[in-house]
Amino acid sequence: MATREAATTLAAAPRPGERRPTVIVDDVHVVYKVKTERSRAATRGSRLIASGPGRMKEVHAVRGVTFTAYQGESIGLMGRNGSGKSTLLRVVAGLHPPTQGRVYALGQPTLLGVGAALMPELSGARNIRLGGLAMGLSNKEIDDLYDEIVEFSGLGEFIDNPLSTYSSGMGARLRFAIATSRTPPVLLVDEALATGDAAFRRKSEGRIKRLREEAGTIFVVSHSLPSILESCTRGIWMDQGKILADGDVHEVAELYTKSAEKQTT
Amino acid sequence: MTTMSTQRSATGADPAALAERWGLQPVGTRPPLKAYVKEAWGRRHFATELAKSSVIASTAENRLGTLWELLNPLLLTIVYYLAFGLLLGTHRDSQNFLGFLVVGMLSWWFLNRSIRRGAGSVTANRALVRSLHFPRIILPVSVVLRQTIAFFSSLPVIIVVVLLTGEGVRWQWVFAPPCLALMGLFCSGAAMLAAWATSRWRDIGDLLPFVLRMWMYFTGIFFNVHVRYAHAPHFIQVLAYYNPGAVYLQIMRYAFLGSIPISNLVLFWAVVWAAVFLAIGTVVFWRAEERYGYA
Repeated sequence: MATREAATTLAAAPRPGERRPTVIVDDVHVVYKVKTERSRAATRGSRLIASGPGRMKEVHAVRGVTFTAYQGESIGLMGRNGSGKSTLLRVVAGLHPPTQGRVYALGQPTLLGVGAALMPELSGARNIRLGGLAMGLSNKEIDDLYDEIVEFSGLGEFIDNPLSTYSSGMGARLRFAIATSRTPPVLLVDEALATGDAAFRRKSEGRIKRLREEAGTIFVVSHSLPSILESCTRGIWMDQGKILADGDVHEVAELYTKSAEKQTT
Repeated sequence: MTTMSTQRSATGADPAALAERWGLQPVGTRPPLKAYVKEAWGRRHFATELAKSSVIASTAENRLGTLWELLNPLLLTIVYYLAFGLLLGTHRDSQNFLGFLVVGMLSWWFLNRSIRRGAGSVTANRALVRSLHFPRIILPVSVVLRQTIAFFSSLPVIIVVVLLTGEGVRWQWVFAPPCLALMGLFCSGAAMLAAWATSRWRDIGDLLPFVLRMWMYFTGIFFNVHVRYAHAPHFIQVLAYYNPGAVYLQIMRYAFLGSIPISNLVLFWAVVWAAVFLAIGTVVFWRAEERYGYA
């Protein structure tokens, strides 16, 4: 049974040995409806306000994307603004349901980022607890990780001050320290990975390297091609919601750069 | 892996079978109701922390902080005392009108705030919903938890007012905690429904305050429904005596005031409303779980 399946599945993309798939994206479409839909509440009101007929605008952000990601890969998603790469990332994270198609993954893919859960009026210490719980850590796990998070953020005694009093660099360091305190099997990173001053950037690059080693698979969306080239093994180039190229990160990046140059000339 | 592919890099086999073979789970699909409730329960510490944090955060906003949570209903109590109690003479409805008004107002405040803030809980936390994965039902529930914390801080005020206005220490005080619990369950269900509806039709958020105000005037915060509706048609009486707001207020007042009676029917409805709203609220909210990301 296993060998027969292996024969058929491995036929499409031959590779040395057998690798464990961590994410399977199967013909995913995402259609946003930007709409002034005539819902029931609206129709009732329209008699009074005399609003016109509801206008519907469909945005086909992702159009039939299929790929399989494997253990140990770090995949850079490239593409212009509005190419659908961030939407795809959110679909993989399970934060946005695909209009059509399916995504299968190992565990719960997690978007790196905790900023939205934090409250500026609270102290850094309280925010570590709140952010940790929001990320799905238990109180016990947070207790165990607490010192390390404070240490890494380099906030020292500032940790008891409200977040709103932090400089933007301090806030970014704390968010990064909380967000990277745990390694999920599938990690999704949207933009701006390493923030802060040069010293912290070096430190955070080290941690990202560790995450990459520990996590099964990492997806990175970035406008910075150098950072993708440096941190990724595989590249996926998306344009208008479709995959244009998928393969070795350097080759894909080259194709992407060439096309970008062609458009500017 | 240097092969370039344009368009579909066909996997060849059935993706579902491949996923199953390697133990991959479908992503972004709504878990069955039972699993969902279990997952939400597993994240209960997040709900309580969110509630505690928002109380603390509100203290940072202005000088009097959380005290406003209490001052607000108390100032309104004074307004209602003057406007309705004295001007329109509803103080005659009750032997201890001030006690009647304070207990009713603070209980109503809990209910009103839970539902209104619950309604906005998903849309206001849009960024959170769009970046982290957790059962969204935690959001309306944490709003009710937050209001519960606020209500506890108002309990001493209730006790001081009723003692100062001539009520004694009563064994009936024991009715207050279970009533608060039932009211909390009812409010959780109502907050879930309101959050679901608001994320679907934003206009609900604008409409809700008026609905709640109508409900408040009908339910008798500053007058006694049993006096005012004594000669009203039967269905008006039934609505006024047994609607969710009325039954919880009635029990709270019974707990603290000597002149307010209680019936088994009121107790019956207090339990039924809590169970019905919690059940319907949970199911309705859960059914839209994967769509809150759009909100």
